[in-house]
Amino acid sequence: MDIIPQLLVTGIALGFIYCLIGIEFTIVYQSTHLLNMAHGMIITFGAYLFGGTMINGLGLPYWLGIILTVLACGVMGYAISALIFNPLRAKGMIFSLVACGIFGNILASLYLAIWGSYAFTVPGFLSGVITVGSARIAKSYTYIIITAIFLIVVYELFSRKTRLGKSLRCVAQNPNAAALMGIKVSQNINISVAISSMICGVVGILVIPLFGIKTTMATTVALKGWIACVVGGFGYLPGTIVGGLILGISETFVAMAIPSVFKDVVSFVILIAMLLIRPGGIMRDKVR
Amino acid sequence: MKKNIPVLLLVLCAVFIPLGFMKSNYFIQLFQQVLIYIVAIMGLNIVMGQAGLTNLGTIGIIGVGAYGAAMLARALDSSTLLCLLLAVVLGLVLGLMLGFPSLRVKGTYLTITTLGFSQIVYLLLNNWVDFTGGPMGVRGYPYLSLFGFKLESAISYYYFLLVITILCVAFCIRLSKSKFGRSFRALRDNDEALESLGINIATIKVLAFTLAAIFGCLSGALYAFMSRYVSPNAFAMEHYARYTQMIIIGGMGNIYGSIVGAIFVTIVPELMRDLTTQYQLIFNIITFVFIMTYPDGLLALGKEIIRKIAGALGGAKNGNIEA
Repeated sequence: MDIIPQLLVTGIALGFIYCLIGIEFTIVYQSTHLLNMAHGMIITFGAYLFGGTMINGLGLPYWLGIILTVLACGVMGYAISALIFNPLRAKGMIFSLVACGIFGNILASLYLAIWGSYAFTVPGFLSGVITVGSARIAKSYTYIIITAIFLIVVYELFSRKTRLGKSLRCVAQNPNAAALMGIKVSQNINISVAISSMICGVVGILVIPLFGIKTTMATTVALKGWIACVVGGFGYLPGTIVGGLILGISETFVAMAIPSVFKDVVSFVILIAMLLIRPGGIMRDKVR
Repeated sequence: MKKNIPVLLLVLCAVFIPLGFMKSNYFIQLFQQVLIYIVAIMGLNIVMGQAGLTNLGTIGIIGVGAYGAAMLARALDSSTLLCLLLAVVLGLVLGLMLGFPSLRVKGTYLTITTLGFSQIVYLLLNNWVDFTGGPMGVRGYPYLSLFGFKLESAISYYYFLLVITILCVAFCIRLSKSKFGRSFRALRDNDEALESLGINIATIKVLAFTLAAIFGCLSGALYAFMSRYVSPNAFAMEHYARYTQMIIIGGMGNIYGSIVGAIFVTIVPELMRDLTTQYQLIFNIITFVFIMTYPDGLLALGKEIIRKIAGALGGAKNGNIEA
């Protein structure tokens, strides 16, 4: 049964992708109380910039391309936050949903205008297979798992140990009290969104071997990242990790049993079931 | 009576303007599209605008309505009017299905659930090739026939749509003035107060979702008979922004605002089409900047401009008298 470890690695890798998306989504939600409907498009931006401009266009080495892309995503996130999210914070939920939705469509049209309307990929990026015993595991999955664990650890250290991370958490918890303590709230929010966008950029680069580069590449994953949050417990990091892994693994294994048409529906069924049985998520007791 | 004059004008425009464009199928189809959007927006206005519940499942509901009508019409062949009615029943079932989870979840969760529904519909339409035909879509079903009279020409179908739309709008206006309309708005503004008055919130929520789904499915079915071909791409999840744009750009929660929004979002990009190839992008940027700077919508802006002009005229008069 060499297929089991293979499926397990695939599931875990997908799970970590959902988890990273869940984290970036939660960062924005906690600091601005906005649902960042445009996050799929920021992920797509990372992929387009890395694949279209850095590697296929300029021919930079991978490491330089990755660093530049992630930095560019951070700058873009900062700009988006200053221009859009900060003004939107005061308005209602439905209003901000609409605005973010239109903004996502604007980004999609811009990508098509800049990088052309054909789907493409980065040849040879994260390709290849590792053979462990009789199991053959795609290299891209191992890269995803390693990068995701590294990012999660770095993010946790950053938000618990550094001064900036602590002030970001203060703003997320209570913006008014944070403002009274002399923390610049809107600037902190800008930094939060920038960090979230940098994670988006990394996700975008990581999923290139899986989905190729096109404007709809991140639509489904972006939604499943939210579902990972809800399944695990909204706003609680270990919950998001558990939720992501449950989604990823169950999706890959269920795809063995049922026609692959319904593969993507599995996570939505899990979502609806969770909402009906345990709306707070699996780890709801830990969620504050 | 004076209040009804703009409405009467709008109806007269809707009746007579298309006669001027009889020769061009393109324009007639554009007007048909506007009416179909208005039907869907009426439902969305009830659930999002008035009841304040986020429902991003509309695009999925419209997709189900369109595919349901098209596939039923292909199977049943002769009785297309029955297909239209069955699509409405489909909407009833879907609305109940979406409405009950909405009792358990609020805010963020409701957004994700309804958006997830849209995505499931799109994925099934696109991937379940044996049943829905996949990316190729469904085609080759008969025209809508009304008691033996086939609505083959674009203009006859337009007037059929116009009648349906006017009925829908009249229903919505009547509804928003009834106790249900007041309950919807109370649910948006303060749901606890509504409950304390002895009104069952659960019923009101499910009712809002069900009405939205019925209008959505009806709109989808009408779309199917208009375009004579349905494919999954028309119902991709990204299109949800177009519908929410319509209810917000005219003025949130206002029926006339929604109608203005539907007309604006459909017609203006088409007028810009000749100017540039990136018309959709430019239109989106314009509407985005507009709703960021002026969230009350076009209708309120129009009223304000009229008031300012009237004020300026009045002010000038007064100034003359004083001088």
